Amino acid sequence: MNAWVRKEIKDSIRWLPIGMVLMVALIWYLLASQSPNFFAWRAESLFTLAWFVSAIFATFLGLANYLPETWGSARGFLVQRGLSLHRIFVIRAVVNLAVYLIAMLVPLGALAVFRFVIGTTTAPVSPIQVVPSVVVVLFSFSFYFGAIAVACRPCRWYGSRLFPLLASLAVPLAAVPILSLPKMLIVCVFAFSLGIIGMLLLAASSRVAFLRGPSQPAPSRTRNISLYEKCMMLAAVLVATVLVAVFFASIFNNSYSRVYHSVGFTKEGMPWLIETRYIVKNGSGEQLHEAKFAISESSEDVDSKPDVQALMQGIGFSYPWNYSENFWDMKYVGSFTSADGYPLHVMGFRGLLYVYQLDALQHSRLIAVVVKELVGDAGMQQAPFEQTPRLLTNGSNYPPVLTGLAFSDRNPSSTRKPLGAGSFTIAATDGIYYVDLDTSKIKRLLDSNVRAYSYSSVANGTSDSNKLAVWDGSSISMFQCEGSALNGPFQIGERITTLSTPTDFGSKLQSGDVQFDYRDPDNWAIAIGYSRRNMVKQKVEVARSIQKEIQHYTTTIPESLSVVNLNAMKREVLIAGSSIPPIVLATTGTIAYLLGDEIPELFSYLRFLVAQALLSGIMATLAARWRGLSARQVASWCAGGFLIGLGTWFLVLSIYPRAVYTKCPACNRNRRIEGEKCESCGADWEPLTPLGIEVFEQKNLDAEAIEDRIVLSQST
Amino acid sequence: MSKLAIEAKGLTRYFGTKPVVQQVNFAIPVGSVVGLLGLNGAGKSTIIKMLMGLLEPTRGSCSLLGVESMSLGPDERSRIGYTIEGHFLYSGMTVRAAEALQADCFPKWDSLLYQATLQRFGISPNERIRHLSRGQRAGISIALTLSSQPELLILDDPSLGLDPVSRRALNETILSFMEPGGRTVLISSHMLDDIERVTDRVMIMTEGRIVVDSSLSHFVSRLSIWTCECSEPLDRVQIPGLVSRRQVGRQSSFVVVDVDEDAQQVMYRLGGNTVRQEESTFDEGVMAYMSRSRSASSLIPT
Repeated sequence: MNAWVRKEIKDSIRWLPIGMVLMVALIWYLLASQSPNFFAWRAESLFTLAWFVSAIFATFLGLANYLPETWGSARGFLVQRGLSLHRIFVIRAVVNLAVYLIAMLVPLGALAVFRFVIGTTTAPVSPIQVVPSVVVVLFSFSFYFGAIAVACRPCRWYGSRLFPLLASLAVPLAAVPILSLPKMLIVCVFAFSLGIIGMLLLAASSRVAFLRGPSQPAPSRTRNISLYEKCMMLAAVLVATVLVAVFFASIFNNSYSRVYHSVGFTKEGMPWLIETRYIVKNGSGEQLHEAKFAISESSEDVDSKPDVQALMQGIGFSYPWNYSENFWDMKYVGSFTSADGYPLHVMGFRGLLYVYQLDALQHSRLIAVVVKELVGDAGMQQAPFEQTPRLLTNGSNYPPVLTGLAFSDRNPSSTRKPLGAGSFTIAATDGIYYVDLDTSKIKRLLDSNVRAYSYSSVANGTSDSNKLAVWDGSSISMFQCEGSALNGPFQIGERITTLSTPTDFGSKLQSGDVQFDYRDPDNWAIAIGYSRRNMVKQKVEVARSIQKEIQHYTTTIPESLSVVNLNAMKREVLIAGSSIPPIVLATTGTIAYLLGDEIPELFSYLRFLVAQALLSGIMATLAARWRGLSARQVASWCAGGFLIGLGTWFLVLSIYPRAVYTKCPACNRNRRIEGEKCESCGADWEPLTPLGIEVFEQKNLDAEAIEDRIVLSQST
Repeated sequence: MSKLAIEAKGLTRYFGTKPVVQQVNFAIPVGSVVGLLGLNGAGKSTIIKMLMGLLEPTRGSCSLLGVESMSLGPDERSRIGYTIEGHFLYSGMTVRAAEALQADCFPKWDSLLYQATLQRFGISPNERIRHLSRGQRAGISIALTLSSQPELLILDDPSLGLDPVSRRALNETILSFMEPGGRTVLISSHMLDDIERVTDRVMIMTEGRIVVDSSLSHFVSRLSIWTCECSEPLDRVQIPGLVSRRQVGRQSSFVVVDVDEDAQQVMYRLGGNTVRQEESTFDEGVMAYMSRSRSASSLIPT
């Protein structure tokens, strides 16, 4: 067996350079095209590209090792030896896994070491950023097993041969939740478990395919399909169906772009919601639509209130996919930057605040690293800066401004006002600090919990830089500010007033956005908009103080204005979405319902779902009968059609070989060629008609006769 | 232990809707040397692949050394030698590495026999297989097969594409392997003199069915060749037991199996006094069956 191990190592190691070149090319691509962009070094960017590369290499490795042996001579030479195919499979899997890991992880490890130790970038990086990529590389080994099944399954290339790769795609999906750590720890553990189970199923399925070999071309007897193969094909069909549905849904969904909401008030103080939609229809251009309606459940006609004005701008529902920080990446602290040399602040790893500055050539340069934890309660303190200027890099591709960060509840935030390059103000959760880089000093301007802060708005979105509002989660404190943020020391003065806000507003900040307007201590308003998980049910809550009396309004945005029912959300989207397997839709819909969504949007697909289930049940039945399955199997697949959806049709056709029939001489009806007896009349196969030229030394020579002859010869 | 080395019962195999092997039955006892003959496409390799468990039968079953072919395990396979049509080898290896790989998988490996076979073909152990000629590759292939000391040897057209020198070396190797006796050999080949030389039983296949399964002497004794001068087109002639016919000018010849009175009458009617009867040789008999395959449709007896 040692010789076989050596042979497999030699066979596999020649592919090592290809894998390493692929991974190095990926890293080179990142370095060359986006290196100055902090987003390029976000863990999820590396994760996505590592997934892509590892999937390609694992597939290549599987095909390169197994596809050449699908032809008769090579297969025969491989099989005909005193070494079981199972052992060969295991040896290969271990050797190929080692080669795969070396090819994928060595460049990633080198990248981590290079970035962390040598440090040639302006961005704060950490070796921990490659961890999600390592995880996805491990899970992507599923493509290796998928490729083995592709190579060994006796199917047509234009048929279901490539299906195992679709099943392989489902396994690395289990690695995705790692990007959402630590929030989704439970989901992550669950997904990892599923991923490992999926990987084992794929390995078992590919093993069976390899053991049986490619030598079973259709037609053949209806062989016993292994459970593993069925699971693999089921997963493939589910993934294919979902991909097709999502693909078409995304095509149609592109017809709308953005929806903004803001709150306005009438002269009487009645809040109104103003909805603005920017709609792009198939790239034909942007169309602006605006609608207004009362937040209270008033039946007043909108047009009767022409004087409604939005006192505050910018309430926009935060969409969960727009921006999500994760465990692995640095936090952006007010990525307000421009070509004028304003600093860029990034909360990096280990609690360090990195300060960058752009020069006239749009290059960014790290000018300081601030250790926040060492700032004590005292007003002024020497800051232990870590000065580590590094290479100048092109800073032209900075990410778009993240407007929602000012109200982040966890991360330190910078003021929205850009300060001079040598000084800036940052808002941390435990206060607001003024950092003077020239003197290497940090001064705490405000010692208070800071849940969110903002300069108070005056009207129409303009802000008053002399009044700073700080929200600690339960109340908003207004402070008088002194000095210019741009050209001199910045000071926070006396507290003007404290305004009590509804206590549950803070808990809704995770999924919403806030508007705040302040005129005087007796006249202010705060509005919050949010939605639960799906974007169908969107709510707006408003607390409005008029002459010391606080009024609380809440309303749900009508479904007619929700995302699903926008004109741009075509019926085709529903149809495409409803092609997702019924069991998947029903399960997710039920879970969403149980978790508190009032009416899950998934239920909007209901009518299409039922139609799909009926149609797929019929199609699965026809396919099963077409394949010549027994009545019981046909019934099972019919039920499968109802649950799995339209993919069942493909599933039946891909699992079972085409049935071949011939005329039964006894009853003249079709009978399957592999059956020993006719399904209709039970007749055996008739002996071949003699040609009249047969020469048999001992006619009808059978085993018993030979045995007898041997025994006889031995006895004599 | 089974006394049968090879057994096939109702072996049938379809490719698509076409039957390539039809209801084949045979049994080869231990110690037999059997030749499997037939034209290209007759089904020889398909049968061998089914025997080796590389191809699943559509119907029927077959077994080697008493074990169902599709269930052959490493233990049984280590007792079987199989040379593959075309002599497939891992061409990136050296000859020595190929031996190491094979010796690792066969417990009865005979390194001396391997070296001796290599010498017979003039192959150096350090050469890389991809640099060898076809004949030398065949030599390595047969050396790898025989050095495992198999109880059952299955050779699928081992002399395909070899020059006469390599063929002779191959035959000598196989014959020396069979010398001790007690070993079962099934050899498929187109080389009739090779088959006649090494086998004691022959099976001939036409159109996926076995039409001859006999010892060589019995096979030859059942055939006779009839010649005559005949102007009548032969495609209209129907003779009971007619295997094949040839016509060169006015001279016609017929190979007939088990000639009876009816057949003789037809022949004398065709040729009159010019009719002559000769005994068939092995080559002529096999050729008759093979050439019949080429024009089978016109020979089906009425």
